[in-house]
Amino acid sequence: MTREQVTHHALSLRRIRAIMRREFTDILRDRRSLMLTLLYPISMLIMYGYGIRYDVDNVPLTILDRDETPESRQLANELIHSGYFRLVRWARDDREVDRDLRRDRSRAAVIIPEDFAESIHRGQPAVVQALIDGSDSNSATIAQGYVLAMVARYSAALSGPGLAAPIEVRSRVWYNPELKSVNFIVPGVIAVIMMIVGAILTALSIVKEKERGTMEQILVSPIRPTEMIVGKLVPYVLIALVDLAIIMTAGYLVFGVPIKGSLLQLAVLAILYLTCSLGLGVFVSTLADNMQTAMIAAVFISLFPSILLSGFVFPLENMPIALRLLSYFFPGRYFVTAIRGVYLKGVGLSVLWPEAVLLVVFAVGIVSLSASRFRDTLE
Amino acid sequence: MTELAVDVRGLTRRFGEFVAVDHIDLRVRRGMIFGFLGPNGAGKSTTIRMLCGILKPSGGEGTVAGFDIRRQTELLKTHIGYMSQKFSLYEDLTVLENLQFFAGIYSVQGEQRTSRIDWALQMAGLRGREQSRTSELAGGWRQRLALGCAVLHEPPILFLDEPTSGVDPASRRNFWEMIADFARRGMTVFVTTHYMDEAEHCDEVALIYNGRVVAAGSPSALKTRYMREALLEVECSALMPAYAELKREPPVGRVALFGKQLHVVAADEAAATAAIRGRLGAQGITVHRIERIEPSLEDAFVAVIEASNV
Repeated sequence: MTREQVTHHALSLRRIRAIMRREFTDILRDRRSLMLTLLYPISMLIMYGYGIRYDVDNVPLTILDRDETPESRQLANELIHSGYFRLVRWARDDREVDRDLRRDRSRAAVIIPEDFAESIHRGQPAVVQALIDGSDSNSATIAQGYVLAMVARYSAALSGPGLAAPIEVRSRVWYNPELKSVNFIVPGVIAVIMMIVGAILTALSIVKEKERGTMEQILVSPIRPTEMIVGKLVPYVLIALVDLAIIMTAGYLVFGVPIKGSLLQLAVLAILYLTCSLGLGVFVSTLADNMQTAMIAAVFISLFPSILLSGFVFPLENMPIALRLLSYFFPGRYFVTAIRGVYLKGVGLSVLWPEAVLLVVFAVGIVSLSASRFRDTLE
Repeated sequence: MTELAVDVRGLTRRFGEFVAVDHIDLRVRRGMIFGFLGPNGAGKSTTIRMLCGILKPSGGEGTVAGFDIRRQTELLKTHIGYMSQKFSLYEDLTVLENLQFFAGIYSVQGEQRTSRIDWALQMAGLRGREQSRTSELAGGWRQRLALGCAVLHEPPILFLDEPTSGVDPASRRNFWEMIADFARRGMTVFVTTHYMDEAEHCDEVALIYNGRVVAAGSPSALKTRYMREALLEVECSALMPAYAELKREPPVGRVALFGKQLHVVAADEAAATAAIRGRLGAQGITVHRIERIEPSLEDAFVAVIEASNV
């Protein structure tokens, strides 16, 4: 009796360990989902970062030649025969250029001004305008690079070595002026994976117990809700950390994206965000009685916001005001901003403290909300 | 612990407007097999959930294993075993891993852990199959494994919620033998079922209907108390026409179909027998046999429920 009264108020490590071990065995045994959790980050990196690069050999190009001189023809031919571009058509005016870009017929356009040849002969810098469709940011960067390189080559051939290049390219990227490249993808993938592992997998794992009836079996045992949750979450925390390591390693080895800032601060931010996502996972599990509903709810509450409202894929500045306001209510935007800062710019918490503080607020809020809901639904 | 393993008064549970369990009193003595019977939706599971401390009663009070069902749920939970009709095991785990898991959550440790797991394997007949996945086991084996997991910590009270649903008849018989064995060793068994024939295995039963206990007592007491009239079993050549004829006015008694026979409940055995022979004969139906039989619990409960519906 006395022993029971002593254990009455303390959490039992033994029971937590039993839950944890079982959860681990379950995860390790289900090879498919295990592979998924480990391969998914890599495949996402490849999807977002790498695959797109193969695509830029034949950038469809519209050329508007207002000058129509041998010089302007030569520049155009240089571009066309470079192997990087495929000529869509010779445009007759701005409207045709505009239409090609808008309708996705071409991804880049070069406009050669009327005074092109004249400027060259007068020894004045000639300005060539390049328009790039930035909605696909990776190919845009590359296309832009190609145009610049081709023009520079032509320019150098004209002027000969040692002289200042007389042609200046003023390139302008439409639709997505930020030009996010793979550098930006790596931290974004971290945000998404944290949500998938933290929220979706935990929600599914809890709801699976409800669906199979094992939850009830656990409820009639002396296990307390806290012990059950801690035991169930620990394995997912570890998986998320392994995924984090995978992403950072692959980001560095495959894409050459090094971590500029402090690894410790990065880990702290990731754990804060992971706490939010685990809380969301538990929250979702209280809403759903079967795995299908849980999946849908988790995707809507956790995954979509972390992809769409975090600034990972679409820049927040370019969003309609309503969506931008909405994004403030999800932790994703603070995490993506903060982790990009640490990862790419090497800035620390001295700069990113507002984001870090907000993440703490979110983590505490979500966890206490979902914990109290979880206790209520056990009734 | 007191002599009463379960002692609750006025136990009530409402879900909104709906009263699932309505002022139930239950007293179960230690070492008894107590059958809690009733049709689906009568309030059996709600009651058992309150007794196990996982559902708060809206009203009433009492103790299970000596612990208050409202205030001492944590202690209560260490003193009960529970098995539901789902045999809630972890399907991806092996037989042994399931047992180890339950040992973990009930803090069964050390030497006791080894010996109890060994005992459970023996009891469930799963020795040699420790490494089998639980999902591969047939119904009867799963049921026995679930039972083993539920009593691994040797609880003084075992709650069984529809323990034999979806299990073949041989396994059911085997299961009740094990339950009887537990009871002989002093364990109190509280079992819900809607198989009335299984209720015969119980020392005492209570019938719950629409959230209320409508009858309680030992099976034999119930049969004599609620079945004062004679129960006649009729075997004849054409079952359905005979059934229709006997239901026609004026009634001979309450008629029910029981497999290939008719059961007729009548106040006066001799008069009813004569009436049955006369009316069926007039329809050209041959009567093979009319016999007064001992009523089953099911007959008794049909009588109770019909009486409570009036």
